[in-house]
Amino acid sequence: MSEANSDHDRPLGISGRLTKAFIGSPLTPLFLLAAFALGLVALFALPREEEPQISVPMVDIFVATAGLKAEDGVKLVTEPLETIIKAINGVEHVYSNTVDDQVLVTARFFVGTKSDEAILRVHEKIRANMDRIPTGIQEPLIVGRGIDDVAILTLTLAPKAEAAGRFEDNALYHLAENLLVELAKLEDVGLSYIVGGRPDQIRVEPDPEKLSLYGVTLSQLIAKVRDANRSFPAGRIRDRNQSIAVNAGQTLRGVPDIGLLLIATRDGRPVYVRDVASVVVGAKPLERQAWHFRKDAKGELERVPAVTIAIAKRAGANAVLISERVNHRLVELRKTLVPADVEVVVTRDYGETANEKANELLFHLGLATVSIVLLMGLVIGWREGLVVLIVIPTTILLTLFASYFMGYTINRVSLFALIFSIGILVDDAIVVIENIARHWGMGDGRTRSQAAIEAVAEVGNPTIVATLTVVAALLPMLFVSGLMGPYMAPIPANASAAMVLSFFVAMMVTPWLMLRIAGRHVAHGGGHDSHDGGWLGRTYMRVARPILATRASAGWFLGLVGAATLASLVLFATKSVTVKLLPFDNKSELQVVVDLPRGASLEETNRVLQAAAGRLGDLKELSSIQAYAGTASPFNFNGLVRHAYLRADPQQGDLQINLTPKGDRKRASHDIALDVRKRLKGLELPAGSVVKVVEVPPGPPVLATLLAEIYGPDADSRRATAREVRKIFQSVPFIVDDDDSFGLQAPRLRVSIDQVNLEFHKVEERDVYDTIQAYMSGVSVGYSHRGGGRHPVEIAVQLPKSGLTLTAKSLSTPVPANALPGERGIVELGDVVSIRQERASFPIFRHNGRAAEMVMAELAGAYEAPLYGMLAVADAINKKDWGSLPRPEIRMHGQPEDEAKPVLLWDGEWEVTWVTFRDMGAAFGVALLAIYILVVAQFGSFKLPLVILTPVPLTLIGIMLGHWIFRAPFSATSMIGFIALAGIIVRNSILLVDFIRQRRSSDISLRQVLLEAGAIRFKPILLTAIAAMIGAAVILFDPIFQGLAISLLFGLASSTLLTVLVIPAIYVVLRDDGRAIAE
Amino acid sequence: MGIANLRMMAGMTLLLGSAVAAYAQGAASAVAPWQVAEHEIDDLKAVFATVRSKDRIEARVRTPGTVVTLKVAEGAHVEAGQVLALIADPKIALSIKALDARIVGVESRLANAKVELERAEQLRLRGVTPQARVDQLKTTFDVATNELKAARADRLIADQQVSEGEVLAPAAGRILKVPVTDGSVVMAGESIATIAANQYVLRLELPERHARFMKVGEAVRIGARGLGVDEQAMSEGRITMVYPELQGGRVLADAEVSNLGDYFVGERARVWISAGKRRTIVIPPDYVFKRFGLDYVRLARGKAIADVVVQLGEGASLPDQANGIEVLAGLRSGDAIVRPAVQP
Repeated sequence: MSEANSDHDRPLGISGRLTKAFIGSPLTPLFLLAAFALGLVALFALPREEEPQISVPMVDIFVATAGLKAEDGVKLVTEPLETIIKAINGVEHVYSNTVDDQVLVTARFFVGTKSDEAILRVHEKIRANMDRIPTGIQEPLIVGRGIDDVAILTLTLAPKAEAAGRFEDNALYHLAENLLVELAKLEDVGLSYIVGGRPDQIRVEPDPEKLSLYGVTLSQLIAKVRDANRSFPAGRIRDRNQSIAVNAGQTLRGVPDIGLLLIATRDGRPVYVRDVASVVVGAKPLERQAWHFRKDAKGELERVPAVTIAIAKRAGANAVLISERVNHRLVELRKTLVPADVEVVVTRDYGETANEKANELLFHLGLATVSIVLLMGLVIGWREGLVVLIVIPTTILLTLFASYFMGYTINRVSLFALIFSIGILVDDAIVVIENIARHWGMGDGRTRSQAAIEAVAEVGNPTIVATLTVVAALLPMLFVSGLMGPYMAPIPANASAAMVLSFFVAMMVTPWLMLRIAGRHVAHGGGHDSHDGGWLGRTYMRVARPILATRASAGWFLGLVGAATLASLVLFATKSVTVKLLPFDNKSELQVVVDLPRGASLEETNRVLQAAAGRLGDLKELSSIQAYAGTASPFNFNGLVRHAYLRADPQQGDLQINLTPKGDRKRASHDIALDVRKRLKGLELPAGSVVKVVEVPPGPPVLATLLAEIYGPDADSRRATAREVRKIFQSVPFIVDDDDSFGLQAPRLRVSIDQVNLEFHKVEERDVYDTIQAYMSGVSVGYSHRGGGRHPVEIAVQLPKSGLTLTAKSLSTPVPANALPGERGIVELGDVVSIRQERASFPIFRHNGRAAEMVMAELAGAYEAPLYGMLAVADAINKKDWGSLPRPEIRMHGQPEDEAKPVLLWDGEWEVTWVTFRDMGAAFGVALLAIYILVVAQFGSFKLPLVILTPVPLTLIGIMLGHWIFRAPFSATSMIGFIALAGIIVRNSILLVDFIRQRRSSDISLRQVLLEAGAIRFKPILLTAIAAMIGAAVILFDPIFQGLAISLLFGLASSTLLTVLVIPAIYVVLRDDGRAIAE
Repeated sequence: MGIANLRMMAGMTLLLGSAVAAYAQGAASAVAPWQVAEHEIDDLKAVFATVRSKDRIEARVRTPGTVVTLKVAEGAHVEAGQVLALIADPKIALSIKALDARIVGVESRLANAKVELERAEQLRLRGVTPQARVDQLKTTFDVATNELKAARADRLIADQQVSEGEVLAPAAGRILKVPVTDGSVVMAGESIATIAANQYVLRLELPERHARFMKVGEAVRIGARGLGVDEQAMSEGRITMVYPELQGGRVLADAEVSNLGDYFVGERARVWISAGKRRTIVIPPDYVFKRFGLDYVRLARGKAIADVVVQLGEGASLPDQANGIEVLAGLRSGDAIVRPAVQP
């Protein structure tokens, strides 16, 4: 490289000056140490999570519209409320679900909105419009739930096998209450709650017939118990110069004293509470059950009652630390608080999984570093390798520190960003090291440091440009919108930071290190392979020579490569490579969500859950199952988006399936999920039930993978269309777990007052309704204070569950009659009411103010991305004979303006996929433009950058083939890899073109120049490519980032190998001077 | 089968309130599963019924006087014609004495008249006395004879008056009320005791809306005495009388029940009448067992067995078995259940 000598006196540039300042400075080692220290601080201080937390604040507004049918609720409450919510800044979607007696409006804010702000805004807006609330509607309940409310730790309390018979869920519940209080004391523990179990209750169970026989009304009974249970401060008295507080009353203790309360005297007979009611102490009759299934000694499933404690963390706290704290405290509590025959099973520990994942990835990071160091040691020299060994961790640690400031956490994505950037960030160091070594090898009498400064200055500008191209390729991805934006954000942010930092480390620290470590040794490298590029160069020449031999051969070659690139895209069309947002992750949990038709009983749900669990008993990978009927398992991120925490109806239930740790099983959770789905097939279910196998989604959760929103002019036609669409869903073999949003109408009874009888018996409506309400739902009258650190026990007048039927008995409930003073009597409820069967309204779901029905499904089997389901469904819709129904129009994005015709809008994962790939495509365009501008700035030409950009599409050959070989879907991470490759690969072509330009002169033939340039640059290009490929290779088997790894690995391979041939070939075709290559 | 098992099962059966016999039966038919099906059961409506006697009779005083002896107290059983009390009037005793004295006087007068008449007849035969004298004496004799008769009759009247002071039971039954005490003065027609005739009935009062279910001959079930919590019906009866008039918005009806003898009259009992029919799932109670504070039944699915939680309702009768229990939720028609003794 003789031309370098002539540049000795050229200006140093930024890089040269940086090197000059730091190469001899005593600050450099301090800087190095500081970088290490800061990085380590960041490593331990950064919160660790498994997944990046996406802040999608969702604020639920519940309005109880007692007595309103869904249709009326929409008009009276939903529509005005939606309008108010829609006006709030930052609200992206307004969903509403109106059912009989209840309206739920959910405001979903733009991704990234702070959840406190979101809740505050909604509160403020609702408050400001409080004067508009319709008569009789209570104040709305506003609940904001965010990612921080997702429990990171769940503990399931269950009796041990030998004590199983002795424990009922109320005992477990109170134990859990105490345990929760203890655990909530720990630092940074956030929202915590108990799932399952029933608290104790002292229950006065009225016997309506006896009430009637004795002529005592329910309200008299309630009033009696309530009044007897009062305790309150009455005031103060003065006595002998003291002021003494006076308290009145006492609370009831339990069965005997409540039973002996005198209610009234009838026919001269005293009527005590125990005459008309039985007083029992026991679990509150709640409509929920929780069970723990575990394998007993024989390996068979054993079912015991369970109560689960869910513990979330505070925002920004470190899940790993909290989990450790809780687990540590639990060790103590197991000895003291928890009885010996109750086991506390940790059924979810995101802290542990996050730590596991982080450690695994940090190990990969180390592995990649060591591999690259070995590569450097082998190719350049072990001293240079040693320098790289120091440079990489410094850069990585500094990047961690930077991500500390940018507010990112240590999670799988940010760590992947680091692993992936190792391969690229080492480039700057390699270039600098190699050039310093080369300059030292010249032996032209300069001092080592002077030579080093000049060496750095020489490669400085191209390095800056190369660094900037990578940043330019990555950074636009930071602006990807939607749910995937923040999920993927750590990649552009961290990798860009790593690139920029690597530049400074390369310029400031590397020369200093070179001088210290390798300074006294004569480096090899340098001049000797300058003309043929060593054996690599010779190999290159053998391949390139026939291609570059003539213009025609070069043209043929270009044509072939172009065709191969296009051909590779055919793999998309043949569905050999599928497109999916993200592949399934390998998690340790699964859920089976069961929805029986509305109106099914808790026991029925429980039975279905039990039968389902029974079929999973012999699953090898099973650790335990928790079944929740009439309540929901502690929700995860997926559950947060799907509003799983609202699932508290008796017909709803789920199985939380916990798998053995990843290391102990062969199958990934997705395969197990498929197996579970297969096993559950043919489960005996009531008609209209839906059983879904729900996996933890790899990225952002959605309501359903395949989600069709059906819009249309009226509810009936929407439902008719939706039913047809659901049938179509069922006809596609790989569409599973189909469901719809409206379901079946639940049966319901209406008790209405018979006015004629009311008048005849002189009964007041209020008395009738009060009686019905108290009878059906019971009345809590207060608490029995226990003292001594025990929980006060609720006293309620309530029917036992066995009495909740509508028979002649219940209709005997007395109602006060003859409201004239002194003439009070009773009539039976049955005398004044009539009962008729009716059906509940269909729920009305509205999305941004437009009524829509939803048809939901998952995909499993041949294709697992929504796109293919959509294609199959679209095909079926077109082929189907719609009869009297109009054929729905299919929309891919955006709600229809006109709801007069039925429209099927694809939502769910497709929406996220669409937004993500759209934004990534845009990011790719911006990246190309930015690279183009950078290259124009570097070369001062408009056309040359086009040549430089040609290798970008060449990556596709490798990417597509790689995905095809690995049977991996082309995912968002693949796309990230593809975009990042543009930056990486362009840097190779810049170096090559730069070299060709410098070499070109009139005395050598162009083909000769091209061949030599290729041969000399081939080694460094290959070296950097291999370094980047090593970085990618360590993540090749991660389920989610496989796409990124394949893109990098195969894309780099194909484009690196082709770039060095294609760029010279373009030169030959366009600028050939007709002179042959000299032998 | 281990001892522990036996004990457990015994415990379960006890828990269910079934007799040990049920266990033996359970073991015998343990293998054959019970087919769960919907049964039509009576929608039972409970009412208070009051025990009443069919007739209520007063034992009344025939003669005024003072109660000398009261022979019965409240609650006593009496037969028809039994003397309940004695009512006495002191004036009658005096008049008996006077009558007796008069009879004695009349008798001696009659004896004298007879002697004189005989003598006069002798003398007339001999012609000593005139016929007129004989006739005169004859008349005197006849008068005395009739006087005696009259005195005797008076005496009988007095005796009758004494016997009318006995108050007799007009019919067999139980004494409900005795409003007088010894020594109290009573007037004729006043009641000495109220007797409930032996036949008891239950008087039912039902809200008007159940009027259509009230038919003569309809069965009713009577709950245990004392209105206890025990919901099991103790005995059965039939409606014998439905009163044509509603009182206070209620239909009145009488039911006859066999063993009401020990009941207090006016005692209230819980009575269930059928107020329509409804379909529901009913199973025998010994198929149910308790665990973790919940009720379970054991389902048989082919050879496999699964325990499912059920929500029980109230007791109900099965067509072929008296006892059954309603299952509100957790079982479907067509399920087969086995007794808890059957091990999986």
